[in-house]
Amino acid sequence: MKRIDIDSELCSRCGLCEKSCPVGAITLHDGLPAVEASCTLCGACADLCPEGAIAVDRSQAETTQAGHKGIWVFVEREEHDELTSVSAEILCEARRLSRRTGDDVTAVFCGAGGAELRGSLECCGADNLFLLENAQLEVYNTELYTEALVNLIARHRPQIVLFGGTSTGRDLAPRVAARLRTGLTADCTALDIDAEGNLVQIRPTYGGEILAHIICPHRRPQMATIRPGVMKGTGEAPRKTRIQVFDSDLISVRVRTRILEEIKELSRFSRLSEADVIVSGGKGMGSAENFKFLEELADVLGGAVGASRSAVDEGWMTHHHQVGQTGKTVSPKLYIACGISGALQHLMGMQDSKRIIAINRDAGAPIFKVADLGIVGDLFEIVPKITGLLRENKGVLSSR
Amino acid sequence: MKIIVCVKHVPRTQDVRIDSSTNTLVREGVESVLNPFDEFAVEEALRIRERFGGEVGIVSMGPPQADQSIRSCLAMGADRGYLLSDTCLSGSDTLATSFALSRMIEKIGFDLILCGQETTDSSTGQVGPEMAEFLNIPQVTCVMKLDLLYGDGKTTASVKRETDTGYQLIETALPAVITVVKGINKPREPGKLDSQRPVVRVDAGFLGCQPDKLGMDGSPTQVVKMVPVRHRSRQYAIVDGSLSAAQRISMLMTGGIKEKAGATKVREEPESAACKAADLIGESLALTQVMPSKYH
Ligand SMILES: Cc1cc2nc3c(=O)[nH]c(=O)nc-3n(C[C@H](O)[C@H](O)[C@H](O)COP(=O)(O)OP(=O)(O)OC[C@H]3O[C@@H](n4cnc5c(N)ncnc54)[C@H](O)[C@@H]3O)c2cc1C
Ligand SMILES: Cc1cc2nc3c(=O)[nH]c(=O)nc-3n(C[C@H](O)[C@H](O)[C@H](O)COP(=O)(O)OP(=O)(O)OC[C@H]3O[C@@H](n4cnc5c(N)ncnc54)[C@H](O)[C@@H]3O)c2cc1C
Repeated sequence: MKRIDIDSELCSRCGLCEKSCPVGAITLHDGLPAVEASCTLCGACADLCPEGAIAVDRSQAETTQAGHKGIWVFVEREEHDELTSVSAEILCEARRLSRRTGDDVTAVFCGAGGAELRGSLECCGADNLFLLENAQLEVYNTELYTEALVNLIARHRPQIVLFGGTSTGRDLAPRVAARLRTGLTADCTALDIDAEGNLVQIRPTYGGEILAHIICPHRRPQMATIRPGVMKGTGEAPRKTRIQVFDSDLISVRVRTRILEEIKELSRFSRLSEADVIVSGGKGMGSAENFKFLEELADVLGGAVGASRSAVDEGWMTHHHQVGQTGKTVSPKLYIACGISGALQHLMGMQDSKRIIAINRDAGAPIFKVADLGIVGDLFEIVPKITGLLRENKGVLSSR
Repeated sequence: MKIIVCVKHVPRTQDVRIDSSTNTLVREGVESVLNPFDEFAVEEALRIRERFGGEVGIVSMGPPQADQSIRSCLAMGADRGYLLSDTCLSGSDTLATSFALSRMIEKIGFDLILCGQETTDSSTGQVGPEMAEFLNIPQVTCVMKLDLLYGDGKTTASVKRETDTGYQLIETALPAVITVVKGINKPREPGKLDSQRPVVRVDAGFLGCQPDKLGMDGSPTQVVKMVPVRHRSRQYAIVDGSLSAAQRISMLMTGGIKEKAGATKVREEPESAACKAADLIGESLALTQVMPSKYH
């Protein structure tokens, strides 16, 4: 009785199935796969086969969940060798989930110098750090990262793989998920485990009005990208993180995209989704140069600088900084709106800030309706004074 | 140059409501439109055609009415429209959608595929990269600038990709999938809709693949539940028929914003105003003890 069937006409002899097999039961003969008796019918090859040439009769296999273990988090690093906030947030969430599933939590890092992350990883409760070290992985490249990660996933078969909803995560995760033929839930704001042990992936849709609960019951790994800034860790007891280094073989990858240059133009003022304080400016700022007043205030507070769409349209700030319906939705501890009238589309992006201070010379500006403290006056007089006062107390602030 | 632009017909988000008794979407009275982000992809394709020649084909998978969105792209100046529509495709997640679209596009033929950055309904941004994987071609997402280069008898694309911290300059071989960000260009207004222009409509049979790769069967993810978001304080409501006339008028007057209780508005000398602000800053960041009201 045949339980795994390979269609030699569909097969393109790419050899992916051989690489994907966790038990080494596939060997290639003239490029065509042959399956040996040690096959466990896990289906990793069928999931991976780009041609759909492999059919596995899973009725006789254990469920696909069996044999998949571990929660993985694809972690990213920012300059100065720090773990990005979203990576830390997801790790803590993974730790929380692991108490329900009994899985290990593994951070996966591509590129050089990942070992320096160990300290932060231990604080977030990671059991393992898998390092994919290869000179080719220094700069993010979709094709190379996909290959490296898919190989590692195929080899170790995690239950769950989570990514930050960052520009890298949102580019990489769908490519990896499609190669593995598994599901991917985008931009989750909460995670849970259901009675069957499935990962429940909760995400806002339809412009944030509706929360959808999504599961991926029959394929593994279960994959999701996570919205930055929403999963606040519960404070983990530090653990020892074991480091394992993998040298990924990327020589066979046909790289069709070349990264010519990577430009970091964003200052520390542009991390809107992670900031506790956002100082935002609108049309009332008058010029790009005047935003320096806001940067100075943000600097004392360790915060970020936001902008209204009008300020972005004027070219004073880049779109990265825009807050509102067509920009970022933020909910910092403190939002300081300077020279922003408070159009509905702007309010939609910042109404959930814990505290709001508005500075505007028009007493009738709608921004005052959502402000805890509204100051009617000229921002150019008031903002530098606030900065000055806070600077006098610099010791206090820097102890935060 | 044969450019394919993928577009989705999406419900206008402001119309979407959930029936709280059944937790299902209310479909009546919901108007659907061309996904706003896709207009940028259509515009970019038209600009490439204007500079380099070629043709622009619009591809959409969706219900028969999606034909309206395709027609508005034709009215912008696209050459051809293709609609993939079949009841067996409903319930597709991004994997099944991308698989079906990639099969469809493969049959039509292409040199370059353009997508929007995401949709306004489920906004995953996954369809572009997943299609690229199925077609085994490169992808570049979040493109804010796109140029084509000729050399050695080949065309390549030189793009600027927006990242969280800046941008990357990338050169990619074609064919490729490129997803463009809002703001890469300013989409033109569509001309007159011409209901006579044919839109080629095909069903799942056209894809020539096993049915278990499509629709629900081909979708690893399942939406098990949908619940309305409980806003902390519901500051915005949709002005709809369920509200009384008085409520509607009040909402129109205020824009639906509830004034914050306990708000203080001050109009005083810059010095003292700045002190009040510094106090509140201290308090918001839990610095009350260490920052006594020394500012007064
Ligand atoms: C579909 C759509 C989507 C949109 N999305 C967004 C979005 O995501 N984000 C967004 O912000 N907007 C968005 N908008 C635009 C929005 O409607 C407003 O046009 C915009 O927010 C106004 O920006 P502003 O408050 O900076 O400018 P203005 O409305 O021009 O306000 C400037 C304010 O500055 C004050 N001012 C001037 N000088 C001083 C001074 N010296 N001191 C103190 N105050 C001063 C003025 O009194 C005024 O209130 C969107 C609009 C549409 C139609
Ligand atoms: C509430 C809800 C939540 C969902 N969440 C997920 C999820 O997390 N993961 C998942 O896999 N599926 C999810 N789905 C299914 C998903 O909505 C469909 O697969 C959808 O057809 C494509 O996803 P998208 O709208 O997010 O497209 P995106 O990936 O955001 O679209 C990007 C671009 O791809 C092109 N494109 C997308 N769809 C089409 C189309 N039908 N025809 C032509 N071009 C298109 C357009 O150029 C578009 O701009 C969800 C569905 C619902 C109802």
